[in-house]
Amino acid sequence: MKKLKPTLISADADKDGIVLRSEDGRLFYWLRATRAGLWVQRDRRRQDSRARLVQSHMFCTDAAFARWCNADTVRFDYPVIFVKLQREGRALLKGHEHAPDTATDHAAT
Amino acid sequence: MRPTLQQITQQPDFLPGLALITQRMAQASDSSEVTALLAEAALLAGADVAAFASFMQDDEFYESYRFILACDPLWCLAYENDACYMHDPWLTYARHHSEPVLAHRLPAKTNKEHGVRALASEYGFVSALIVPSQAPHGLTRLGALCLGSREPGYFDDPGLSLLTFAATVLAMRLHEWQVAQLRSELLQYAALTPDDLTLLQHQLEGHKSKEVARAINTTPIAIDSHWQRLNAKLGVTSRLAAVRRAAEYGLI
Repeated sequence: MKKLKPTLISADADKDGIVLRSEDGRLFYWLRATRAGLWVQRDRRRQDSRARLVQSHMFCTDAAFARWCNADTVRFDYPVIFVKLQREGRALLKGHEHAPDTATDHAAT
Repeated sequence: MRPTLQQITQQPDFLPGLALITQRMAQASDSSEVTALLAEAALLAGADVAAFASFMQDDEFYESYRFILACDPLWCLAYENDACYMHDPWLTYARHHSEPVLAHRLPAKTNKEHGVRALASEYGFVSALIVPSQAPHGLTRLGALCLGSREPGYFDDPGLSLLTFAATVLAMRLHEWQVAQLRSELLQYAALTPDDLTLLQHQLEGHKSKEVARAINTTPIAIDSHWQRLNAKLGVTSRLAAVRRAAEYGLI
């Protein structure tokens, strides 16, 4: 598979939080712990439709985060990243109360 | 019993609360803060769900769709898997209009458009208010704030005009914030110098190499050479593409 140039991401991503990148350059996650929960930015470039989708969401519970992870086809397409995402996300959620920020989780749990 | 939209908009903290959120959004230091603020705004506005979607032609190869979600994030995964961005009637509306609109007033013309609406409805946007925010003429960049309710016809209420007013300001602020993020991303990615930006500005104004060389006291060959380096930095193949990319990302 063709390797893409690095995705344009926020200058803060590598300084603050955890960054996960696939080797082919098509998938990128940025995770941060905030007081309200786990903030995740998922950035995926679809080869088939030449589209790049970036979504940002705040997860307040482990269950909501796990539900989102398990619904993603990344689970099959990028199994290594998927495992890292789950592990890092859960770890950040555990200590998020000590970080700044506020939010509401709208995901069904 | 759930309050009506009119009751919510008549609460004393409705407008001051949303104004405060809009102000905090302008000062937000990172994306997680903006995501949290959108969720706060949705709650205050009586919406069950909210999303800010933005679109841009990234480069010659990719179109990007960015979502800040205050709703079930599985919606966005399903949206991606079904390539809904190619048939989204709300996004199509936002491309061509600047007036806020209730989603049910936008007819779905094809089966695929019906599918996109049904998906949104499944994830809480049973009724919705769409508030577009557009970039200056000639750019592909656009945004749309979608406030949704699980209750059919929730926004068909005398409180709509006040909500629309507040949501328009919020959508503009979200769009401004998004552009600032994009600008910062491109500056970081391409490591652009002030001289690069000057060159892009000259190209935007239609100046040829000779004119630019005269203006900045150098030779046309040096300008052409600078352009080769600049195109490589921006990952484009022509001066026009470089200017388009810089403009889309809010640099010039």
